[in-house]
Amino acid sequence: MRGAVCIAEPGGGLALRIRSPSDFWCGLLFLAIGVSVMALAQHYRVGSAARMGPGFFPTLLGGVLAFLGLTLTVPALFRDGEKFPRLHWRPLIMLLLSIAVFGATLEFLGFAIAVVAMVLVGSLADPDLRPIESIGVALFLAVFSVGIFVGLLGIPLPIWPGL
Amino acid sequence: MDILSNLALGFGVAISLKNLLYCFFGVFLGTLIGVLPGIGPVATVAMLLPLTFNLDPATAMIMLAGIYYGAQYGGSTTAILVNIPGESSSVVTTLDGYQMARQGRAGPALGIAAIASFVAGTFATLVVALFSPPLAEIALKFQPADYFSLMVFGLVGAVVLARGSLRKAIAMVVLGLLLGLVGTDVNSGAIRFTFGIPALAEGISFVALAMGMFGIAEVIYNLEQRGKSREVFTSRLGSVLPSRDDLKLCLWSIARGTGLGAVLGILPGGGALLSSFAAYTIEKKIAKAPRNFGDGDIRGVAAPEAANNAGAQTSFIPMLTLGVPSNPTMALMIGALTIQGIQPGPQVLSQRPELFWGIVASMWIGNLFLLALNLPLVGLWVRLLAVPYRLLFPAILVFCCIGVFTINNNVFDLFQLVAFAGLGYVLLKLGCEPAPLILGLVLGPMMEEYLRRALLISLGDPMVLVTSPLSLAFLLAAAGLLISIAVPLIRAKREEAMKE
Repeated sequence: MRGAVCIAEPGGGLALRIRSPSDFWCGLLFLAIGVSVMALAQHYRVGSAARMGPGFFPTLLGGVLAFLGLTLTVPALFRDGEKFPRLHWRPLIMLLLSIAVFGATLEFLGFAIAVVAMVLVGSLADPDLRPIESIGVALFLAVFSVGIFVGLLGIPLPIWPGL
Repeated sequence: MDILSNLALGFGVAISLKNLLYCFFGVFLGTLIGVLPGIGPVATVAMLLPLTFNLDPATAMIMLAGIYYGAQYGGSTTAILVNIPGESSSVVTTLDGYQMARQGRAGPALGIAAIASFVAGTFATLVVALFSPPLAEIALKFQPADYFSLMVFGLVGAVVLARGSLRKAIAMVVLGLLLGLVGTDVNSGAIRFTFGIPALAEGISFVALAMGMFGIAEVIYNLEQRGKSREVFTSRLGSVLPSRDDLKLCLWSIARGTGLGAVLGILPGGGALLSSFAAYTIEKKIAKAPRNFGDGDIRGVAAPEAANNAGAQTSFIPMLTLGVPSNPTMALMIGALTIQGIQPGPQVLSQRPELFWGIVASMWIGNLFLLALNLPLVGLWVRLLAVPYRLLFPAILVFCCIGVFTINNNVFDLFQLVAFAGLGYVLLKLGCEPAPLILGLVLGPMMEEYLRRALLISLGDPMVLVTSPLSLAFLLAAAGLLISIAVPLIRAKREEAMKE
């Protein structure tokens, strides 16, 4: 990601340099979303102002978002600003993965095992990982949440596989 | 309609054993979760939302309101003891509160915060009771064009008060509005932007988005901030009760903060935030000597705490009477009401008076619980602060996931949580705050519907938005806000205030 910040030689003649990478990519993201929304909205009837179809409001908003994206991206070529932020991949990936694991295992392996799996994967997000402690936390949270949500609140969740 | 008989009706609802119990639970749980560092009121309310699904609407709202006040107070506790504001509205509390804690006066700081909050809450409850009925009556006369412009005004207000870049905040609102359109179009029945996923036909899961962006994204953000040392003042708590001199000193500060917060809280866009900043600034200017603001002046805790609690309370007014949320927490409340099958708006007051007045009455009871709970339990909250984050974040993770899943009992919602957590984190890193997005999400379908109706009536003429005097007034107010922020002088002031 950080490598992609400069698209042209710095200071080289007419070549444009991204002076404010954070704004540039943020604007580009909004521009891309806005344009895709406008394109997708054309699959629905746009209609006229008096009889707005389901495509009317999304087209309007998509246009506004694309325009706002431009107002971020274009000035970012001329004004110095913030660098592209450093994304921390380890907590990001591990936490997202842990939720996905919970979602994938919940209905097949039951609530108890899914919570343990989620906590174990999720604890990898922490740079100073303590494996034995994490296992303890996982077991505790499984028992605790089964007790609270299934026992106390009566939410119907399958606790064990196949039950 | 008499205000006293209304309040009597409300207290009749709120004082039932069941509602009292849930109000108490709400305040307790709200404080418990809100006190944990790095969890603000929005995440707290979102996390505890599923607990209210099986309750009847009045009890659910009473509990949620309790959770909200509790979380607010919890945020102030972390601001004072750890110098971490639970949310933006307690940022100013860190200035003097943390200094007081460092000087060994954490107890009185926490005590005055609770007392100031209670006084402000009592007054603000009266304001809500007095001003909601006339406002709802006016709102019943609103035409679709007026409603559309009111929402534009509300969103602009939220944007202007958001931190950081104005363009990014507006873009986040628009993105939120667009996300709100995903699903079945109420008017034509067309299914939009679902990419063939049947579960999306009912729209994006509001709770998944809120928890992803405010809960999980924050956890990721906090995990990367690890290693920055923070000092917790738990040992030198001292007496929680402020001395008589302290109280005397704070009397007028609390009064000023309350008045200011009650007025500013009604305005769209983080009422609590603006009022606490404004209260602190004013206090700094007009308080009697000896003034040592920034260095542990107890009035620097009392005034903003009164203001943000009053503001938090009066921000219920636009939500309850107009159905327009003024901050992300109110957006969650609207989401909760909708899940309960109630469309928030002016008709709630006339059709469900017991619900409306029950909530108003429980506001005061909630504040009473807050005072009764926090003065004796401060020691417990303080001990919670010592729990290390590596033990805390797995619990947050588990509660967020269970909360999201139990809303529809649908695994797909968990994958929405993954998507929004990722998106929220990246946007946060790019300097885009999630608050405007969530307001847009709630208002998206409503705005489309009102715009459609307005243009249908006017036969497609967009001038209807400026020919109706009310609508014109809202649009002018919105334009005024935007222009005022674009003026360099005010802009500089705003940035200065945000930095402080």
